[in-house]
Amino acid sequence: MKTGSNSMVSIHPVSHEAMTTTSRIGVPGTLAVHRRTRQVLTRVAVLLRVIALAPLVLAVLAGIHDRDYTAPWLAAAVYLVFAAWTTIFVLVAWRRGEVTTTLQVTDVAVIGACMLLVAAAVRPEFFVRVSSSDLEAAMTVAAVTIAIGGWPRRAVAACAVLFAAHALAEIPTTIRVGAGNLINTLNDALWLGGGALLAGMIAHGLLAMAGQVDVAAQEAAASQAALARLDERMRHDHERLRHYRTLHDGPLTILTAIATGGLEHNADDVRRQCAINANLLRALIADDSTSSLSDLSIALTEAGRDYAVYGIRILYQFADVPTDLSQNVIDALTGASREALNNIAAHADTDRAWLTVVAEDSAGGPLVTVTITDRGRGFDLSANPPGRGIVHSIQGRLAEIGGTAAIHSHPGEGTRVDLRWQP
Amino acid sequence: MADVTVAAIDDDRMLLGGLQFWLAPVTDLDLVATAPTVAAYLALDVRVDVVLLDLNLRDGSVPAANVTRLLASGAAVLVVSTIPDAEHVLATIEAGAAGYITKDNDLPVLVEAIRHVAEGGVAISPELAFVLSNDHRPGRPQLSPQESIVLRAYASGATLQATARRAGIAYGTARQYLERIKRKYTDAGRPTHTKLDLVERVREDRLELDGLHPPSQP
Repeated sequence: MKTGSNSMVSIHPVSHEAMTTTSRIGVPGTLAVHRRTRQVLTRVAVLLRVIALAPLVLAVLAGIHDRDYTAPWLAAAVYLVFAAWTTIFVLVAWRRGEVTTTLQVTDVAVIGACMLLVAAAVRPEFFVRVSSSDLEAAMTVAAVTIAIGGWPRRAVAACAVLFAAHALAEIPTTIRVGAGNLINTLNDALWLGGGALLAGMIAHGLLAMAGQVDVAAQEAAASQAALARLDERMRHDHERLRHYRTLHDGPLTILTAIATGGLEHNADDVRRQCAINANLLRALIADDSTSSLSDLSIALTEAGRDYAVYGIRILYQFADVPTDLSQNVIDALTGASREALNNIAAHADTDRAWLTVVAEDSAGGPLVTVTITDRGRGFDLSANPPGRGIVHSIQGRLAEIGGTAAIHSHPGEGTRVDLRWQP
Repeated sequence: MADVTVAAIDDDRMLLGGLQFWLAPVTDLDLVATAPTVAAYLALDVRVDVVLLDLNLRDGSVPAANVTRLLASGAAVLVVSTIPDAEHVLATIEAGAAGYITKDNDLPVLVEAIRHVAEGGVAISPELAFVLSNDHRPGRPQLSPQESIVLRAYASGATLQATARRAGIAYGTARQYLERIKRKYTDAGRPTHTKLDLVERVREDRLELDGLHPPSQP
C-alpha cells in the first residue's frame, strides 16, 4: 500500500496543477453546453409566443363577427399595444438568447393589463362564446417562458399574478353565466400551472444534464493535460536514463578501471578503448549545443560503441539533428548504419570510420542524411553489384520508412553509404 | 630542406608532454617551444614556422585574437582542440589560421598537417570541412554548388580521391576547391578582424608592458 500512496503523491501535484490551469484558461467555455441549452430553451419559448398569436387572431375575428366589442377603439388599442410588445419581446429575447428579468416583469405586467382592458371592451358573452378569447394562450406562454428559463419561484409568482388578472377579467362573465364559467376559469388555471410545471421540469432536467456534460468535459480536458505532462516527464526521464547508461557503460567504466589501477593505461588496447570513449564523449558534447541531445544521435553513438571490439574507432559528427524523429525512423537509420559498419568491420580493413548526421531545411520538412564513410579498401561496385547483405539490409530498411540509401565505393578509395530520409 | 620548427601553446601540460614525446622521433619536425598562453609564448621571443594553438585556452583569451597575434609574429597557425566548437573554429579560420584539426587525430595526420602548413599550405581536416559545410551564419562566404559538393563529401570523412570521384572532377581540382573555400573564409575575415583585433592587441600588449594582466584574465 505504501508504494501506491507514494506514486499518488508524485502524480497528484501534476494533475492538480493541470486542473487549475485548464479551468482558468477555459473560463469562457466552462459551461458551454449549459449555456447553449439555455439558449435553445429560450428560443423554444419565443417560438411558442409567436404560435400563440394564431388563437388570439381567431378569437378577435369571432368577436368581431358576433359584435361582442362594446368599445371597439379600446379593444383595438389594447391589441395594438399587445402586438407591439410581443414584437419587441420576440426580437430582444431571440437576439439575446435569454429572457431577462426586465422582459419577464414587463411581459407579465403587459399581459395582465391587456387581459383586464380587453374585459372592459367586450360584452361578458364574449368569453363564453369564443374559446381562448382572453389572451389565455399568451398568458400560459408567458408563465412557460419564465419556467423554461429555469426560474421556478418567479414562474409561480407569474402564474399567481396572471391568474389573478384573468379571474378578475372574467368576473362579469361568471356573474352572468354562473358556475359554468367558473369551471372554464379553473380549467385555464390548470393549463397555466400545468404548462409552467412541465416546462420547468423539462428545463431543469436538460440544464442539469448540460451541467454534467460540462463538468465531464472539464475533467476530461484536465486529465488529458495531466497525462500529457506525465508523458513528457517520462520521456525526459527516459532520455536521461539513456544518457546516463551511455556514459556509464563507456567512459565511466574505463576511467574507473584506470583509476583503481586495474588497467595499464599505456597498453595499446586500453588506449584504443580510451580513444573510442573520448569519441563518444566528444559526440555527446558537440551535438547541437543549443538543444537537447537527439534520440538519433544517442542511438547512433550507442550502435557505434559496439564496433570497438572490431578495433574500429568511429568519429561522430552531428549537426542540426532533429529531436522529434519517430522511433521507427530512428530504428531504421540506426539499423542501416549498423549494417554499413558491419560491412566496414568485415571488408574495409581499416580502424577508422566517420558517422555523420546533417539535416537540411526543405519544403517537406528536414532532409536528414546519415553518412557512414571509411577510408579502407573499397570495392568495385560494378564487379560486386550490391546484392546480398547490403541491398536487403540497408536499402530495405530505408525503403520501409520511405527513405533512400546510396552506396559509393571504388577500390582503394574507401566506401561511403548515404542514408536519406525526409518526412 | 631545413627542419620545420614548431611551437605548441596549450594549457594542458600532459598534452604538451605527450606532444614532445610524440614528435621526438619525427626527424624533420623540431618542437622548440611550449607555452600555456599566447602572451607567455610571445615573451619567449622565439621564431617558429608553425604554432600549434589550442582553440580554447583557459586564460579566457579570444581564439581569433590569439591567431591574429601569432600571425603577427611571423608563424603560421594550426589550431587544435578537443571539441570542434564551430563558432570559434570559424572565427580562427577567418582570422587567418592555416588549418584546424581535432586532438584525437593520429600522429601521421598531425605531422602531415604541420608539414603542409609549414610549406604555406592549408590543413583542411574532415572536421574543419564539417564545420565549414554547416556554417549557417547569414554573412558566410558564398560557395559554388561544386564547392559545396566537394566540401560535404570531404567533411563526411571520404578521402580526397573519393571526394573528387564523387564530384566528377580530378584529384588536383578537388584539392584546389578546398583551398579556394578556405581562402574565401580567410578573405572574408580579414577586413573586420584585423582592425578590431589590432586595437585589442595593442591594448593588451600595453597592459602586459605595465606588468598587468589583461582584464579578461582571472
